[in-house]
Amino acid sequence: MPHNVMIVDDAAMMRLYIASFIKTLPDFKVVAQAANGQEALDKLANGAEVDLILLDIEMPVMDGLEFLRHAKLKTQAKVCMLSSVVVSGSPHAAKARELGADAVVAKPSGTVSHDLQEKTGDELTKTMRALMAA
Amino acid sequence: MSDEMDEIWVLYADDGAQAMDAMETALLSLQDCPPEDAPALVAALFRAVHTFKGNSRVLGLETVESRAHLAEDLIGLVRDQGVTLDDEILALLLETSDRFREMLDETARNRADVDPASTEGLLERLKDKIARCSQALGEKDNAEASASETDADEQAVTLDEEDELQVSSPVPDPSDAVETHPATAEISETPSSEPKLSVAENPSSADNREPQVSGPKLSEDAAYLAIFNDMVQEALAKLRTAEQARSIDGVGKALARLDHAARQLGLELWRDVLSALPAEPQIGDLDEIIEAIAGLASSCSDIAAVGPEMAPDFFQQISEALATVSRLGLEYTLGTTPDRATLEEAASTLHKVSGQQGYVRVASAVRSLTAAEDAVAFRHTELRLYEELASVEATVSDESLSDSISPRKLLQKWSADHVLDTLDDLDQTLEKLRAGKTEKADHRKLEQLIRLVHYACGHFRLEIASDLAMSILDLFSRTHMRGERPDAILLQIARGFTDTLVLVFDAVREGEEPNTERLEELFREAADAGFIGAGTVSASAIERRLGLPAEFHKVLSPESTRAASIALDQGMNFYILRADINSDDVLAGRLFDLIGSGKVQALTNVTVFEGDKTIFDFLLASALDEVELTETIAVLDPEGRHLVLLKRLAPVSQIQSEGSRDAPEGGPAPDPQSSMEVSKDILEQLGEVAAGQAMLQNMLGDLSNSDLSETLDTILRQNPDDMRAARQALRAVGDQLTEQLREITQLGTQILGHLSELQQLTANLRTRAAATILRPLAAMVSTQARNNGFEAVLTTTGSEEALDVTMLHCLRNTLQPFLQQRLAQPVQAPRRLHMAIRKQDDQVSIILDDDGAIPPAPEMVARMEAEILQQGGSVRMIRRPEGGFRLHLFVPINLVVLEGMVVEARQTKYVVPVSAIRSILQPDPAALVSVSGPDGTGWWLRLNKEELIPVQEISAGRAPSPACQCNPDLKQIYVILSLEENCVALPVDELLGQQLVLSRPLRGVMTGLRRVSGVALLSRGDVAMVLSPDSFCVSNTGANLMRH
Repeated sequence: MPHNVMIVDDAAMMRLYIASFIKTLPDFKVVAQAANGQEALDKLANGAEVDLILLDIEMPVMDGLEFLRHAKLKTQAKVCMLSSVVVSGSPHAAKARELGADAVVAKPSGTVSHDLQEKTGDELTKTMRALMAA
Repeated sequence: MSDEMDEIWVLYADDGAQAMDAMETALLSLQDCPPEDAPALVAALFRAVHTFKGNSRVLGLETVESRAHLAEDLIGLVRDQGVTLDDEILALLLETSDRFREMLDETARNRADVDPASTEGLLERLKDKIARCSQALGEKDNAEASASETDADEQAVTLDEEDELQVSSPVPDPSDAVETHPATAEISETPSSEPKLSVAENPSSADNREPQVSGPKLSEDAAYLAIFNDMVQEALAKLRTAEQARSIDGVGKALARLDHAARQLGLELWRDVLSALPAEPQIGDLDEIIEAIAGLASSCSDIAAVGPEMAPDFFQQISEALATVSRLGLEYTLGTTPDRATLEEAASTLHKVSGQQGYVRVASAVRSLTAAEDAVAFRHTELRLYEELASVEATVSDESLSDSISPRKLLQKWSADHVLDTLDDLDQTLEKLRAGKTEKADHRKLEQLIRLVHYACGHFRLEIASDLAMSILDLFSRTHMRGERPDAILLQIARGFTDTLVLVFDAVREGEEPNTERLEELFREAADAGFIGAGTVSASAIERRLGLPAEFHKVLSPESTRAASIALDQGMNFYILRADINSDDVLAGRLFDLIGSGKVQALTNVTVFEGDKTIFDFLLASALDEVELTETIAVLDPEGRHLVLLKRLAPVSQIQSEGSRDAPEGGPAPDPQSSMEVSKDILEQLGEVAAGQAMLQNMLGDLSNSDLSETLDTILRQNPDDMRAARQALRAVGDQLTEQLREITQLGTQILGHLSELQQLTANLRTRAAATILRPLAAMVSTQARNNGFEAVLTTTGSEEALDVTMLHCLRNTLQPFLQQRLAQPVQAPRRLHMAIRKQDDQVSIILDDDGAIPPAPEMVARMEAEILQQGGSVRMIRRPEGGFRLHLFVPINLVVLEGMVVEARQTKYVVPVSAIRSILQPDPAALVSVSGPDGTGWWLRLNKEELIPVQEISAGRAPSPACQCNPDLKQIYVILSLEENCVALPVDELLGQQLVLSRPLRGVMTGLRRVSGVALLSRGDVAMVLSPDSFCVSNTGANLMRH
């Protein structure tokens, strides 16, 4: 059974890029998408069954860190921050870790990274699989 | 139609479409799924229809809601009453799904309910199927009831078990169990639970259900209350943001949405409060509005019950059980196995209360607690429980917790109490990592240890250290996730972190202000580690050169940085383009086509918000000038509404950029000098070496390809009779060759210079002051003595000695347990101890004196000796005449980088450490004085009227006859060495220059060489002996430095 993934990102194009990348991975399936943290929380509350959440940080209404703070209490799903502001050593990356993010992967070229698969695909795949194996 | 209603209809359409997708997916999967998957799919189907029904009800779409309600009833019979999901039901629900989608489209389009007539047929068939299923169930129940009358007791037991299972379910489905909170009475006049549609209990109820518009209030549905609570929290957040920003934008909209929701849910009290608020709120009203909403939210426990504000009550409920767990944990650590019944009772309470809140991770941690089989496992899971509880705590305000326990503070306190052990453990784990001897569990342990350090830092309010811990954890975790081993830079940062923290905690415990400069440096190193690892310059350098706006600060990835660096080298133009493309896929596609075409390169992009709208600023590099780019963009967005070229950047040169490092606020953040700059410098030096080497290779290639013989032959053939012309031509060839060789030599020298610099930089990375271990040891001695009921003090000298970190680590691990043992017996333990560390040429001497009454335990000395021997050193212990004991440790320095003066004497090259050279003289021969002594005649050099120092030949003791004595015209060069109060003059033939050398220890027969501490490879490729100033100066203590 493939692992269920929820994509949380306010950039519509980015959701598209991530979803099409995940389609190339037979062991993962996108079952839900949300444009901000609040929407994602609602989906979880409404019973979305996800194993892994790919989470952006900078979003309107409720950002990724605030979502993480609440979501980590009520779901066993692993959370991988996938954001342009979590380059290694950045304050956001440290904060995400503090709040319990299970993994952190930086988008390669900004909020909308059209080259996600090309430049970070390998790292993201390894990370997603490592999280599911943990 | 108002904006908020527009939004609600859009939400209705989106949610409905998702619900329909979910319904169809579940139905299609149910047609051909294994039996074990069916319950989950039926549950998903029920949720989808339940959502659709609820949304329709909120918007008053009675016809849609009534059909959805019947479909939900039918699915409920399958889910809850055991009705078989046959083909008829599947087909009926698939048809229903199609009709729902049509109804959704129509209602969303017309914003009005559908005509009931169009779905009359569907309605009848749903009712019919429900009735038939219910009838069959009734018959079955009757039969079962009749059969079970004979054994009522047995049935009761079965029911009890089922009930218990339901109660212990950690996350009850809100759509299944609608509980009425006592406080609901405050806002609802009908506090009874919603009469769930249960055809089994009331088979005819379905007949009375169409159309049901006056059903029970939605305020009794926990799921809707949860949504409303979220809306309240969201509105409060928006109001507080507006208050801070002194902007009223979006406030009216937020209040209108809340009012609408309260109306739909029938929350009369909320409606009363909201309707009393100003219709068109102004900035000055915000205080009052926030107070009213926040006050109501906190007083309505039914609302709080479904949101994070439940937590305070939660902590009060668990406080007793948590105290029990804490007590049992302490007893376990002290050797008493916890009473199983007490533990399980406490765990049961914790599990139940956390389960009720849906805190699945807390519940999971509690389960692990009862499974722990020993004290260590118990401690581990207890900490995990505290961590999970701290996460809950992080979602509530401090005021809310004033009367409750604070798991976060407990966790921080515990971590602070054990931080030295944690740091030691962390050190050992890092050492295993460095040696590549780690297992999977070690990575988990590493992360756990760093988290404990993070909490400890939190206890002492060491924010920089606390953040740095998380940053380091992040770097390790990324490496681990990629399946890689941490590189030397990361390990170095982690080591620096633990070493520095020992000092910091020591200072804190002594009540001093800790020096956190080093931590700040490490933080910068951590920030740059990813860039260094990716082989690129730091992002801040590019930020400076491009003059990037603040929004781009700290978002450049290594990939973007590298691309920007290349674009800078290529002389590209840089622009910021604002793009409003999030809701326009076509335009977004065009923009990315442009980027893909190569005309424009998108280096990075950041999000900027306009209210809740997401817009992007792109950093572009392009060969196009501003006019050309503007025209290109105009083709994509002719009206210029979505793509706006904000500015063209004006990059500065690297030199200008370096000069503006300390630029004032406003520009990109300055990047102060840090030790990570050393790492950057290493990269730069490596780059220089690589480039120089490539050029050298190229020049040598040119040389080897030129055929000198052929050239000479040609010249001679061309000038058979003109020797003058031939000579000129030959000379030109020779000159050219000489020039080429000169350039090669020059380049070679430059490369050697870079290599020397590299040596020094690398050595610096591994060097720390001896204070790193001396201060913590001194603190430990005082603390341990106090703990044992007496006073002891350790004084130190040599704190400033710079030693390799590995050696420091070894010394700490050796000396700490020794001192602990030495202080273990209160009566005979030493009261005064002194430790002196001194670097001597190729070894470090550590002297530990104490005034203890009894000698150190032989096994402790043996253990220390074994460890020091392993390092190639030695240990001596003596009884001091004045009482007490002296322990003398010698630890060899394996590699030493030193600044050396290269000299030649008797055709042999030597390196004299510059740090030991007092001066270099070429005195008049008259300054030499011959002195007779028991060993024969010796030569002395008069430095001034008062100072006469011995002359020693480097290779054979005292110089019997300095060269100048044989030839008075020859002025001998002397290198004057000085160590403490001892001086000696070494005659040398030539000074070859000063350079950094890497001194290696002597091996094999070389170890017999006197007055030499190592050998070094010089930049010209020669080998030189590194002289030991100690051996020269110490051997003269009985005779030199005669003052006249």
